[in-house]
Amino acid sequence: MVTISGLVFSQGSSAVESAGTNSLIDQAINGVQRFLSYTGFYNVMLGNVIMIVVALVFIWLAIKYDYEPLLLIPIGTGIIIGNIPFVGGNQIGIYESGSVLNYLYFGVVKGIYPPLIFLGIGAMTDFSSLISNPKLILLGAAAQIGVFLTFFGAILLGFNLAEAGAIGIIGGADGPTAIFISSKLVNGLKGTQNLIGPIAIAAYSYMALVPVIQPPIMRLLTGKDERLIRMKPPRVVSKTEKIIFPIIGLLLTTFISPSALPLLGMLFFGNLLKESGRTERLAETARTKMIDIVTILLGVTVGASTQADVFLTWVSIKIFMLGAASFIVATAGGVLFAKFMNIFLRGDNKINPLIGAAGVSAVPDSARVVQLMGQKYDKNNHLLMHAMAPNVSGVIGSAVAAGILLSFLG
Amino acid sequence: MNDSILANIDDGLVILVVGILIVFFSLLLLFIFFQYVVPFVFNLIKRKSRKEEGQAVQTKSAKVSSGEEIAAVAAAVYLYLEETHDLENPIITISKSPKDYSPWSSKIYTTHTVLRTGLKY
Repeated sequence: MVTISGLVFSQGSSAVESAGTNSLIDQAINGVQRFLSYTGFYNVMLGNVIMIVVALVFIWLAIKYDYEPLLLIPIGTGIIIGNIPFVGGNQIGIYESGSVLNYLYFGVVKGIYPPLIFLGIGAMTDFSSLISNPKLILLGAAAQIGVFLTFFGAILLGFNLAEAGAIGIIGGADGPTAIFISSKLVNGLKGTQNLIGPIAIAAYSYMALVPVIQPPIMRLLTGKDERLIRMKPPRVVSKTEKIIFPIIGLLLTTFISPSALPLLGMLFFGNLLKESGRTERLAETARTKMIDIVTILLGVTVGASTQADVFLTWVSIKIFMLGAASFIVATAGGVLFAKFMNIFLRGDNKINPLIGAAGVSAVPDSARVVQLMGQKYDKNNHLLMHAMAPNVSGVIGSAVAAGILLSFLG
Repeated sequence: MNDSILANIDDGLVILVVGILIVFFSLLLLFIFFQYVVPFVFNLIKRKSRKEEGQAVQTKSAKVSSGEEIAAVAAAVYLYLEETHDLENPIITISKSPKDYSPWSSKIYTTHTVLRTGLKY
């Protein structure tokens, strides 16, 4: 009996054991299946793959052709990070409340990073060329025509006023300004679409492509004799003038367009730190470590905000088209206005119209393009210093334009 | 064109025109300020400081009135001019000597020379 019972028992035990083993295997299989369902391979969509390819192109352009590597490498990596497929609800994604990326993205959504970038830009910008030849300031204003015409074009394409305003600013060729205005007008709150990602990516992409986009327009709109114009060397600017400039610039521009205060306030503050001669330590921090940290955070989070499901839409494609148009119009606006100014200028006061293209404010890339273009036709014609004037004026102009759009639409 | 686009067009046109004008106006103000106002103020300050300098010299010369003072100044000027021959060319040129040996740098020369101190060894 015992034996039988033992046998029975042993038989029962093996049945239980085999049932237990089965359930363990099932559990293991379930676990593996569950794990697999969480992996990127299981959740990947075509959109993710496309975005990862776009990211790789960005990184390749930055490394191979040196196109804005400080921006394109963080953004490209950010796009990869943002497009790694995952299962929602685990506080991973940039749009998931409480995730690390979401906290970092806060600086973009609330428009914190752009003014900090402007502080750094101010601390590294030398306004001497602008002060020595103040008429070149107007070229920076002329290039902002691109912003407003694109704004109108976006309305015609069916965007509402706020969306059109944020899209138009791409023509300012100023990434931080584009992010700043998008974070205020199209942040996904109050019934608006979240267009920060597409607008920022479009702005930075076109900024990186300045050496490709601008030269054909410059060639198209200028004659050979105009490209050969030599401008008289800029005069020496006194220390006092350099100190006065940020103070007067801050007062004049922000009294007219107070909405641009976070950008212009920080830009001129940074420049005063540089020019005062007493705060070199602060200026050094602003133009090196601080701007580097903010650029890293801004680049990665803007890149990560381009999750395929949010980014790959017809709206984004329209934004990219309008952005390209905006850049072209802005470049043309600057060049044509320089030609217009030449009607009233005589002798060595004449302006080489190529420098008008630098009014788009992609500092210092567009000025560098002007220099290269000028040297193509006359090896001894150095236009870089002259082009820096409309270039930095474009930074002020695009911030003023952003302020105007905000005061109308904000 | 649908109604929403048509509704936005009027506002859009206003922002387009006003926006361009304001951007131009603000940068035009900067241009005017740095093209005309700053040079004007600088010239004014320069002229004023020159004037003040002139006045300062005038008042100083007006103070020198007594004969003793004039004599003292004249004596000082005379002494100064007399001593001008003592002024040497401040530019010092160090040129390398072609010869390696120099009594100025010779250790043997200095140690073997009998000292003229009057002491006998």
